[in-house]
Amino acid sequence: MRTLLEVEDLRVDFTVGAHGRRRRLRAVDGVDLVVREGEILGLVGESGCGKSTLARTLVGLQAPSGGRISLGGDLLPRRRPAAVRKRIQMIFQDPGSSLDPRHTVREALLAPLRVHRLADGAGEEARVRELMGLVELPERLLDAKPRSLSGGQRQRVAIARALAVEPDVLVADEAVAALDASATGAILNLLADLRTSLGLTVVFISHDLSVVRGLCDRVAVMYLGRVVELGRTAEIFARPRHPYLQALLAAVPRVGAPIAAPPLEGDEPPSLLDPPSGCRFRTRCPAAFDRCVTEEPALVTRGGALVACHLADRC
Amino acid sequence: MSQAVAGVHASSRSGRRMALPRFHQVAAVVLVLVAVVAIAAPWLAPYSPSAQSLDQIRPPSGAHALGTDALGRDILSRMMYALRTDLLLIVPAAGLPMVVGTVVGTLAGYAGGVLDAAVRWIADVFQGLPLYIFLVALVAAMGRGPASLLVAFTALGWIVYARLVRTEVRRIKTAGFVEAAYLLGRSSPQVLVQHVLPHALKQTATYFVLDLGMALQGVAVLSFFNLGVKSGTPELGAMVADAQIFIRSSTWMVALPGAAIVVLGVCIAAVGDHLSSRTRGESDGR
Amino acid sequence: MAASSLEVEGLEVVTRAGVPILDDLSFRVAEGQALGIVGESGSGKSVALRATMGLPPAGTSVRAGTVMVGDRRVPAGSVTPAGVAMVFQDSFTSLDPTMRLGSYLAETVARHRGATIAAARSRARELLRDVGMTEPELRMRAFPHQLSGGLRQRAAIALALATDPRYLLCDEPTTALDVTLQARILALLKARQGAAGLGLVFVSHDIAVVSQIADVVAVMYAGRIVEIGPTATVIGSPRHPYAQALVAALPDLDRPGTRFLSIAGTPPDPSEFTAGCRFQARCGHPGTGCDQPLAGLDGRDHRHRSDCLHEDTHPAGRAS
Repeated sequence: MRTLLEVEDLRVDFTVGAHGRRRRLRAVDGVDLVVREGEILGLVGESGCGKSTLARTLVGLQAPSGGRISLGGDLLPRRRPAAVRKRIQMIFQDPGSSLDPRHTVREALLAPLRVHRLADGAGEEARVRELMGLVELPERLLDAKPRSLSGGQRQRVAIARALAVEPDVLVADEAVAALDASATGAILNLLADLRTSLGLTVVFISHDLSVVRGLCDRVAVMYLGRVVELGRTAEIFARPRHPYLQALLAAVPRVGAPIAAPPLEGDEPPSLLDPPSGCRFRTRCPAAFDRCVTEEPALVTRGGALVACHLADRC
Repeated sequence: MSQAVAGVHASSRSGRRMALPRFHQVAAVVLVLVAVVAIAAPWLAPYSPSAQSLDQIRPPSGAHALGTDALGRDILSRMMYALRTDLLLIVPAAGLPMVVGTVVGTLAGYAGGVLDAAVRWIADVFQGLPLYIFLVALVAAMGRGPASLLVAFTALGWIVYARLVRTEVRRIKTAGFVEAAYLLGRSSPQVLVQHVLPHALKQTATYFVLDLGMALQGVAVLSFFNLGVKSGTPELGAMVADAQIFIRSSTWMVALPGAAIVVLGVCIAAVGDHLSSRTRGESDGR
Repeated sequence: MAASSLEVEGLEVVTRAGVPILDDLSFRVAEGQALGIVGESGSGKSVALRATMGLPPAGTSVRAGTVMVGDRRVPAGSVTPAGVAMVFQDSFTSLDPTMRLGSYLAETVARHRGATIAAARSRARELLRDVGMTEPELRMRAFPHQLSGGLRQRAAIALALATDPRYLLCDEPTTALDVTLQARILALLKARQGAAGLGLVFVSHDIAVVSQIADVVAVMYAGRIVEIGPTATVIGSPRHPYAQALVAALPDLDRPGTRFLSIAGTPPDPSEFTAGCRFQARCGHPGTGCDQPLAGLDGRDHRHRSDCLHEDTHPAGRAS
């Protein structure tokens, strides 16, 4: 498959603290990532691992501090003009705030068509109805305000609105985290269907590994701003090599299995303001040894996956 | 605490289902009537507000429905014109701070950074100024008249709006629908006008109504102390001041304009309160 | 009855407009037992817990019901029953933003046990260690806003445990947390239940989580318990079409399917509640008699039952 979106050595810094005590916080630290055309790539990790910042940087809501992002071979500028922004769209976590409460569904869908002059007069209405069909919403909801829609319906409208500009990539940031189990399944099925019918490329950010497991072709696991493991979902979930992914998978609740507290040291991931030397995961890793303190493991290929761990060969 | 929250919630619900509750409805009707009288005073008033006669200090009668004052002027006519004077003063006195504050708050909230910090610093300085002392100082410097009043009210009143709008803008700026509009191709100013400002304005409307009450009070108090409108201009506060020496012998001369101020103030407060509980209920509940 | 228990009987909660959210809900949990309540948002599961604690959600009030802790009986909705504590989904609400965690915890302990400050502080330290904090001294000096979501949630649990409750009501305590943290907190609660004989009521929309912690599961839909029974039985062979759909919709990490199962439609608003089966509009196989009034199941009886008239006619596990 062709490479569509390519991220090289991406860094995103924030300054925190008041005058005098300003410090730099590097939320994304040297991420390399390739998104292939027509695939669904999962991005997982605990809160604070930088996955949402990475998502916002991909779509252009956050300017990178360093590194490159290219789309279909074109290097994307730090500040993107409208025509470039439209090529990567985003679905947000909170379906309550992803639509303007004052606008009807029709108005929400018409706006992007008008900005980019994608349809005219009669064509507009036809396109709006077509979009409603794509996300499997009845046309009678066109005149509804977001208030009268359920969470799942709002998220569908948000997806339809993003599809209106025919983006190359759709970035979904925890798009189902706020939905009930039944609505979640329906939205995930919709994303999978759109990939099949439109050839849509999706970057799917989630903290829920069960969801990622069912939807994504490949998964990147992030820890403290870095990718620590990346590979085909079926493969790395069946044979996780990085101790962090092993801990994450062990912690997923399973019907019929006893509660398993993850084998992690300490009670909290370390602060991004002061990341550990060497391997960033070493302070919580049950298998850490001397080399982990001094030397940062590189992302290397092991059995079809990429892993950043000194013990990658042993696992 | 939970009681108060519950109350707001309930009133927002009932507000959406039914019309305004009765008291607010009455207050709103009174305000509309007052506005009509004020606008139509030249046609409605039976006498000129400055026409003097020899019938001085007369209680209400057939010829003068609300009596006459010390110079024999018709009190009803003067009150009608006074409403006109007061509305023409308080609407801009409450409106100009809203406009200035909204513009400043929007820019500060949307741009952030240095501009935001500067605005906050200036707001802190202005907020430290006490209203009436500042007013007196300004009148002393600029001279009496509507311009001084307007400058004083704006100098102190914009802060509330700027803070409110800034907070709203900062909150809405990161809402999904605003970021989505930007990604879908709107420019930042377009996003601001189409998605951010309308939400912020809903909140300021409430404050505007409540500020009308503050301005009414301010204008009346200043005129009472002879710092507001020029003497002889029909104005409610000035009418109270002019008539106060007759308070024992001819109570109606003080009571009528005084009562008008109170009724106006109460009606404005009632409508403002209702609006505020409604917008608060909406932002809480939705 | 062998073990002492927490019993809630005939709970009725209505909105300001008088619309019932819960009508005649009853449930029971014994000491050392864990009762799980699952359901979608709007099923009334959180309302039930809050009403039991005497803290009905804003805009609602408790019209009827009693809470019995052991042999002490109090009317539901107005008082917090002694010996019962609660952990909320949003832990910010239970911590005092103006106090350092250590002082707040110690004060709570001191007030409850009548202990000296020194003894209370050492007990607070112990509590924080119990909930998995490795540096309790450091955390005790922090204000709530300085703690991460995970630490705050654990602090809220420590606070709930500081009053030595015999029953702990948990309202989605791990929903906002990462899986690693969720597993730790579940393990902690399970340990408390086993060792200290704590009675747990655990409310969640996540069946997998509930299946791990609960001995008995109640499935709620639109203000009623529609199925109840021992956890393994309810999840292994659900009888009510709604319970079947919930179980079928579970994404399975170990056996990924190509499709996610879901239930079409949305739960009814309380104003649309009917006397008959409230699930029939979304049910894949409604039959005759679904309009007949139903009473809802009594959650004090933990034998496996469902509230569906046609439970014998639809094959288990085959939901829409």
